[in-house]
Amino acid sequence: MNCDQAEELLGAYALDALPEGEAAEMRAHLRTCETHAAKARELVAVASQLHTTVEPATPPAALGNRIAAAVAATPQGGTISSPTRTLSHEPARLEERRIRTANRLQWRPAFAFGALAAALAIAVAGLLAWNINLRNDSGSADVFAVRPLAQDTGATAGYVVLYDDGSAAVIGESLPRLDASQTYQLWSLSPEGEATSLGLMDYDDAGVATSSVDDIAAGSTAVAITIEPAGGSDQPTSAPLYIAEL
Amino acid sequence: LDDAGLLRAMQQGDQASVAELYERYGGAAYGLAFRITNDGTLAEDVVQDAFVSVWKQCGRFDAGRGQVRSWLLTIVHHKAIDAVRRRTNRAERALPEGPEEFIAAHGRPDEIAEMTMDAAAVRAAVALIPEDQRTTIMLAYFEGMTHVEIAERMQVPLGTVKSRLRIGLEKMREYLRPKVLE
Repeated sequence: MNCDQAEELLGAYALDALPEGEAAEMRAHLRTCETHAAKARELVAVASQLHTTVEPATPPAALGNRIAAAVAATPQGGTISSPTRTLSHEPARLEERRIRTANRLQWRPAFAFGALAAALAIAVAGLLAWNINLRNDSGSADVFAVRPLAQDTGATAGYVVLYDDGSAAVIGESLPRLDASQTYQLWSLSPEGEATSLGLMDYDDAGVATSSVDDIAAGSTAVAITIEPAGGSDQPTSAPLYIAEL
Repeated sequence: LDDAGLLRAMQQGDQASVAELYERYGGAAYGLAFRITNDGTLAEDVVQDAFVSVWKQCGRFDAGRGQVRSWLLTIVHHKAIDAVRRRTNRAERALPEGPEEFIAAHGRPDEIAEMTMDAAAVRAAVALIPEDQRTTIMLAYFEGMTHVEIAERMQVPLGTVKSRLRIGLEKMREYLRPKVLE
């Protein structure tokens, strides 16, 4: 890219309106041309203020906790342990997988559960947050979003932090209140839809649920949450409310 | 701590600084991401991705030279338009990193730092530029359209779009000089 071409593209570059190829050429030019680097600085600075014309909006309450968990699981300067791996840019594929999983579960006799409405979102309880940080010092982790299985709720509802040693932390908040006869139970799912109990989730009056798992079986493709009778069940007795595809 | 202090703490590995930055600008970030994606779920993912990027890349940002808020929201903008382009299966994807890298590396020149950059001034500057330039800039910034896509949408030559984007921003720059708006 020569100077004339760069001059012409300054505005598009500042507004992020260049396709990948031209943007790369522009960046290469700016590294060697101080004249256009100076002009680019000015226009990028102006373009970077356009966000002020948008009114702030209140993010979902769980988003801050999701970010905290993702940050805890992401080393600085390293390869991102990105939550986008499961979500961000592939909504159609995610939806397809979600439906496929839901269908698969419904076909299994063990999952012939009654429907229960609920909502799950994430939280970082003190002990669990400590756990994430501690582990992050010595190993890597992947973060997976938990989604409600109900068709009409697409929001991210929870979080699974899966460590490279096979252990995991599951966090959630805003869970529906349960009566004393019920509990939340966590399951790992095989590709065939077979469920293995990962134990009961700790749950408090604020709707925050947490669970630490020592080992998620190799080959598990998803983690699911169900409501079970107090004390838990050997096999799920109700339909999964939430699922995280691993 | 001011924003620069937060960045410095973050550079020392302080995760709580990310939470504080989110407390300050999470609403602006989500508002911008939602404005561009028009999709709450996608906007959440964009904002999360942006804050994680800030956490990862904060060592590259010279807090003494640039505005942390602008850097963060430029990252949000870049990720949002990339998400929109992916969603619509457009061939013209954005680079993994956009102008935010330039901001991190170069900051802003002093004369820009002295400009009036509050929301009212920016809105006024946007309103003062000619409509064709304003529309072109809005299509790029809020719709995530490339210059080629804008040319097709507006039925004008590509060179016209390039000129409108550049001249429009240059005029905004002039309007944002305090002496002009006073």
